[in-house]
Amino acid sequence: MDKLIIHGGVPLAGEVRIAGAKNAALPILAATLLADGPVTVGNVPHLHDITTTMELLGRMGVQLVVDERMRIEVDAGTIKDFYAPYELVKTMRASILVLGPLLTRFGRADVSLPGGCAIGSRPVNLHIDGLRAMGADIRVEGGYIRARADRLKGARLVMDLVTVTGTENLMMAATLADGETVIENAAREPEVVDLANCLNRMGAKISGAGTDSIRIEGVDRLSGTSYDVLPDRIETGTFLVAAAITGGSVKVRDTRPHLVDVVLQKLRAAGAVIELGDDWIKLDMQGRRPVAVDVHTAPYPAFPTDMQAQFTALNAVAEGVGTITENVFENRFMHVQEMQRMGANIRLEGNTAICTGVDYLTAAPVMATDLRASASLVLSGLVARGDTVVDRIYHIDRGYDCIEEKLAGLGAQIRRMPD
Amino acid sequence: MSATIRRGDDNNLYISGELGFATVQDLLRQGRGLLNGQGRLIIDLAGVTRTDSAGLALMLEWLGERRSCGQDICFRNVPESLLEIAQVSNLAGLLPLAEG
Repeated sequence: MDKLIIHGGVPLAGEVRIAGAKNAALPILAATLLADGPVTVGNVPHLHDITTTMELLGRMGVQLVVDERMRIEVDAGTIKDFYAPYELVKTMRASILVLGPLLTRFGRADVSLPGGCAIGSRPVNLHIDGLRAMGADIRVEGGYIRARADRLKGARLVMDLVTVTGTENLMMAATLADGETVIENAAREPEVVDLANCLNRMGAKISGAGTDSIRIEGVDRLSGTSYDVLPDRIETGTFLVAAAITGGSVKVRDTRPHLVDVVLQKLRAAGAVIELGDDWIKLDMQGRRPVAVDVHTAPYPAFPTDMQAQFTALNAVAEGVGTITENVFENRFMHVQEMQRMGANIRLEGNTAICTGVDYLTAAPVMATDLRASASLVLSGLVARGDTVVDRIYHIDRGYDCIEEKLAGLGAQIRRMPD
Repeated sequence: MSATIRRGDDNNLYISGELGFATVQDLLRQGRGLLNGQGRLIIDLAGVTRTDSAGLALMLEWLGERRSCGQDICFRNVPESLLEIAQVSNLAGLLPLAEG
């Protein structure tokens, strides 16, 4: 397993380009199954889950071509199988996103149930219940969801829990259903809106995406189109925190500032001077140490759970005491113990981490446990004295496109050590 | 969209035009017969105007064909964009490259 070695203490400076959002690209790639012509998807990040999705589609017989600008052209007209095998689903839970499109367009889908997840339970029963309410015949047997339907029928779907992939799956299924579907208590994340925008470009009739009530009027067919995925707001936020934690000055470009409104608010509270353009954000700490901030995670548009670990790192070296309260996922403070090994003064009380900032962290060998935890350990390494070795970085590689090259481009002393 | 593959005076093969989804079938057909021969075969891509992952797939097909006969093959003047596609597909290490 590769490791990252980071020599801390360099204030970051320069510009960095933000990649497309994986959490938007994955459902959009699944949505290409709905179109009866080729769909070209641009601004797709170079990440393993994208390759896995391409493999998943390819194994179904879907034709995929990557062009010179790294856009992926997908033509589902050649599909032969309607099957997502366990060996792929177990490595990528988002594979479940093919369930709705396959069922609504082709009338059948056999999708493996995903396994457990290190950061808490993320049930798929809401996907199944919603599709059943639309008339699907679904059996769960042998570890597979086996779904059949002639044509799905529009329905009013009230989600028990706010679920992003559940909302996306049902929204895609409803696009080709007979009649109108309303999803109540829908996820409001920008990635859901991006998927709706892409589907509408394909000819779907979706309104209300970005609110908790999404209305979809079913159509008979969707057609091919070309669509660029929205920028990754978590990568945007992570690089801004990297600048703030090191007392640096960084401009992130090819992003959308409104996607990270709450994060920017917290960074301003931490003492950052922030300038905004249409597609860029500049953060300048003017060499100052950040001030500790309080953070409460909640579904969008509140503070994202995927940014709490990075702010835990920020608070670890900030001036004062800051609390991080995790309200979305259970068991999501696994980075704290690793930061404590670097000298951080953090106390856990239930779902809250109370951080008393220390003057400096000390480098140590640390181990990544999940994607965002590993990002927070890299950030900690950027300000630690000595060489921090972050092990198990396959987690970070799942969510960040070329993280060490990008950080090195900002002046960080970071390198990858292959195993 | 068209592409050709021809043998040069130096016995190397030269591709010109698009090396991509629209042309790979034709190039595969044109290449039959040209890929035979003993020793190291160089395929020069300096004349390629546009490419995509289907072009990469054809190169790997040729690589497999030559190797299955115990013969050597390498590619010269590979466009940067094609190398990038190979890189993100974790296939860059498979492509034997020759200096331009």
